[in-house]
Amino acid sequence: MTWKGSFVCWLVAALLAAVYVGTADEPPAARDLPGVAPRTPVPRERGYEIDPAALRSVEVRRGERAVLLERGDRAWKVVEPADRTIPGGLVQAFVDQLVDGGESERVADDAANPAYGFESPQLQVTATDSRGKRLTLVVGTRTPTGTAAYGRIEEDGIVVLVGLNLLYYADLLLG
Amino acid sequence: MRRRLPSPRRVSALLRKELHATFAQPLLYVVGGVFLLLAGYYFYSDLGFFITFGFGQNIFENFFQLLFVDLRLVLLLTVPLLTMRLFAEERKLGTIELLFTYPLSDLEILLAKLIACTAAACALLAATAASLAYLYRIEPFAFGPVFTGYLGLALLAVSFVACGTFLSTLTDNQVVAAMSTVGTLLLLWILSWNEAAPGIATLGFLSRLSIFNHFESFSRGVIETKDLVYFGCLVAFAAAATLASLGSRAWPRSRLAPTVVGLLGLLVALGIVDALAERHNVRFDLTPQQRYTLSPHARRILEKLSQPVELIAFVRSGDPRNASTADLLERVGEVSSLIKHRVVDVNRNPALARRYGVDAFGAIVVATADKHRVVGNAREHLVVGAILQLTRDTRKVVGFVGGHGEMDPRDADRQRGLTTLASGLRDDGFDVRAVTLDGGVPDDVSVLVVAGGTSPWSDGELALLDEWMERGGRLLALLDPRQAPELAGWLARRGIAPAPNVVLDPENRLYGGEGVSIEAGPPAEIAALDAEQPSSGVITSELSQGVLLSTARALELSSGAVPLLQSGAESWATTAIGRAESGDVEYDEVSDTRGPLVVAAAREWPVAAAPDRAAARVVVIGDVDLATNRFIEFLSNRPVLHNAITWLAGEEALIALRPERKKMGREQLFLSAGQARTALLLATVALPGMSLLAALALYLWRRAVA
Repeated sequence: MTWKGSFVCWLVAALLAAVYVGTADEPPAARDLPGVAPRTPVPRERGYEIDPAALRSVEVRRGERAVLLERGDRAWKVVEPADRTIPGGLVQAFVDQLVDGGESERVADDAANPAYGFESPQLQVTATDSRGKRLTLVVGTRTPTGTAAYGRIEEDGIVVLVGLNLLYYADLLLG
Repeated sequence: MRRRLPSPRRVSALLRKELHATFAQPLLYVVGGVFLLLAGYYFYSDLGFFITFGFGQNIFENFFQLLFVDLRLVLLLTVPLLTMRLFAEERKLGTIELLFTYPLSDLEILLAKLIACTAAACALLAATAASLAYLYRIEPFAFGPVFTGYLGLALLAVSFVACGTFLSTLTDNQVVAAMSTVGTLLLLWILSWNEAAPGIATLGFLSRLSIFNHFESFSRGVIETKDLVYFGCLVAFAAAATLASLGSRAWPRSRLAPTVVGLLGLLVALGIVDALAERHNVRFDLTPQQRYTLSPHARRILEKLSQPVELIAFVRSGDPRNASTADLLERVGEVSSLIKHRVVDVNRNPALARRYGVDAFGAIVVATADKHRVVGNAREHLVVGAILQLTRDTRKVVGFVGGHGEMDPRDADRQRGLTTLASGLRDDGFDVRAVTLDGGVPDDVSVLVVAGGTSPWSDGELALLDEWMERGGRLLALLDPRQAPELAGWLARRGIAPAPNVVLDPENRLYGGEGVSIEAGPPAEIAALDAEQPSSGVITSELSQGVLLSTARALELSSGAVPLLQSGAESWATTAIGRAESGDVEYDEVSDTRGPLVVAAAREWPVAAAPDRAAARVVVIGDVDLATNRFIEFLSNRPVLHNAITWLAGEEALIALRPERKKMGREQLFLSAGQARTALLLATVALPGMSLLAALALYLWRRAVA
């Protein structure tokens, strides 16, 4: 093929592109409510990422009640409230759920929609790694189908889905 | 490289040589033996799976679809064995130089090789049809889906051959040519396997590139123009690349850059053609039930819409069912510009979901300006029913008479209940409730249904019925033999007399069903009616199949009554009902009545006292079991009942073919152990064996000649 032939190929491509753009549908109607997604749902995106090896402490808070966990040499230990005894298996299960929750779905980049329920959160979890980097997960209401809850990552403002197991273990941790 | 238009004469001369080289070589038959063995194994195992687990389902959906999807894998593994020799072998043997000295253009050489190799691949595919022919001998099936399946496989074969031909020009090693073809085709297959892997931005693009995604419609019995265009583009690009590769032998090095840039331009152009085809797609649904096409009933309702309707499907991203949901919304939206639709993720739209009360994945909200309904899943009749309910000004009431042991619309019992019928009527926009005749027919009832009954009707009740009919009443009577003799007498005075007999029709009874079951259809004069004609005949004129009646009685008609359904020509009616039910009865010329016999009829007559209703209407069907939960989904039982009630309600403009939900007793396949063994031997021994024997015979013959 010569440069001339090559040019013809690209010219045809450009003409077809013009036809494609020129015959495009009208843009979809304006969103009538905050948080309304485009016409076709986009595929799932990962929610957040926690390196389990680097995780050093986790604070679970609901209103005035809070539990602070720190990683010891061999296992997690309860720092606050100092007088509470929490089974190590339960603590580990909660941390595992928190770490695995990173696989959950990211549903929005903007947490302003009141339907997510972040104005009166039911739980806040703060994870800190060995370099002092924090990840704060604020849990709002359940999803419409009741199969998960909404969570806001405070550091970057995105909204993710939180599995119900995490809430269940948090309930047990907080007593 | 020689530039000229291909000459049919030169191409056919070379094609003959190529066909001889392909079909007179043992290689094709060895590859064919392997291909047919694999295809036969899939045929038999898919058939076994279908017979074992697919009982009661449609043969096409469970067996053919599975088989065609499996055959594409067999094609992928065998076609590269045919294409590997096309240029690689000639290059290695040095015969390609000889070929290039002929007065042939590269395009003519390519066309001849492409057609010959495609013919070989299609011959292998055609051989697999022998197994299907055996099945057809046992149980005939619709050709449409089989045709689309083979068309899709043929298009796959052409595409595979085109890709394999190109890769064969790049090397003189046949193994490398074959492996690179398998690898390329596998890559084109698995591009869209894992949604998470390629990333969001590229996922949609890669899914559209995936060769097997474009085969799915064919395997379902549907031809889509976008898929035809895709395969055309793929073959065109592979051919262009092959020509460039062949032409490179005579190039100066300076040609490489413009060729690569030009091929990229061609790729982009073909990609845009594909995108345009996707946008302007046309679908041809060859499935027997037109499963992927909106039913005429739905179209008629949607075409008459007078107000805007919005459809919102609430799904979960990544759910494989989303495609069929979006597809249904597209089909509904295409009918009327008043319908807007969109698909949203439930979790990403909590406010919208809560506003409509959606709490499940897959729900569809049908909304008008001031009302909405939530439909549980993406089924045509549910969505269209909801649209009908929301856009009707008033909901008409269908009252089921009680008090004489009639069947009840609230009873979920399989044998006697009518909940399935009641649910379908609600989907059609009717209110359904049970009524009694104490004090007369309630004023708001539009259609009265009498579903059988065991207790006698009093004269007072019949007088109330008389009074209601005088005001333009509408009545559907479903009466088995021996049921409600008083009501039967009342109906006789109105021109439709249920006879005290039972109709037998051995030629048209359900296979494996009761001896007294019959399949009835519209008489010829009704079947010839146009749906637009103002006649009660529209109740049955457009039925796509017969109606299954469990124990039917004949109806004797007076002037003015219109026959809607009749039994077959070989049927007869006997008054020996008990003996008929036990199967102990033969036709008696003296006492029995020879068919065809009318088993459903309608009549209307003008009334003076009803300014809003010009006529009273009655429909009588000589069987009640067709309306029960057990029988309503058989054949056209549901459509005939819905049509009758719709006509009685004065909404005959809405009568048209409905989507078929189930086809019990049809599209079934039952194999004996002997038939299954024959299918196994034919598919996995006889067909591959014949191919391998042909290979052996060719080998011995060529050796003897040499």
